[in-house]
Amino acid sequence: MIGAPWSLQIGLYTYLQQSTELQSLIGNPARLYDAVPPDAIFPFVTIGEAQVKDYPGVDGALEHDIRIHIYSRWGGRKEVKQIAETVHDLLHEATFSLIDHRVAHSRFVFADIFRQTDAETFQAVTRFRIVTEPTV
Amino acid sequence: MIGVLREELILLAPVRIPDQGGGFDIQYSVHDTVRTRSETRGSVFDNVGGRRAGGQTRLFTLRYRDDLVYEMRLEHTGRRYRITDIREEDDRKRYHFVTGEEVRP
Repeated sequence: MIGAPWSLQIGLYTYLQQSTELQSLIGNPARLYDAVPPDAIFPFVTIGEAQVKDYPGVDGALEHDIRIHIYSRWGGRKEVKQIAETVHDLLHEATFSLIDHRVAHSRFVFADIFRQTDAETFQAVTRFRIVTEPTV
Repeated sequence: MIGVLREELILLAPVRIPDQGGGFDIQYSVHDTVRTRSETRGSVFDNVGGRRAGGQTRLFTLRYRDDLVYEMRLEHTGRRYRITDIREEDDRKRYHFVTGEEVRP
């Protein structure tokens, strides 16, 4: 049986990668990465930091705190906000397929949008709380 | 020095298209094509978002012109550079020494 954290990453990656709404903003195939290749072009999205803890009351359930980062070199916040909104719409109160687990619930927690110190890059950090339960 | 400006350098000027939210889409259009002499000065890494994109810094020597601004881009042998330094040779306005840092899309 595959562990919930990795199962969630595979499921999340596959789900977001296949979204035509997201593809319309970050290309097809979607420029969605865990490890970002050196030739990645802007805008792109990365699967960021994650925290995992027990979800009390349900056997085997885990609560995942996942961050999705968005990077853009548009001259302002328009592009990161559009992409962040699309990611929100795709993940907030959504469900998607996992291996050996299921998404019990997925909720948006916050988004933080700011300019990087290079003055050319805008970044959004979106955070989601996702609870998974084993199916096997 | 004119005889040694054997390379081609394309000056790209920014074109900003407002996005109705106070920002803009920025594109670059050809402003002029000039002769230059250039040399590699070092390397640079673009680490944004974990994207460790390598590039080079390059010093370009070109005839003095009064329309050079930092927001321009330079294109040389297919590579694109952002301007990080503009200096004049002296007060006689003969040459510019322009340092560029390679940028990736």
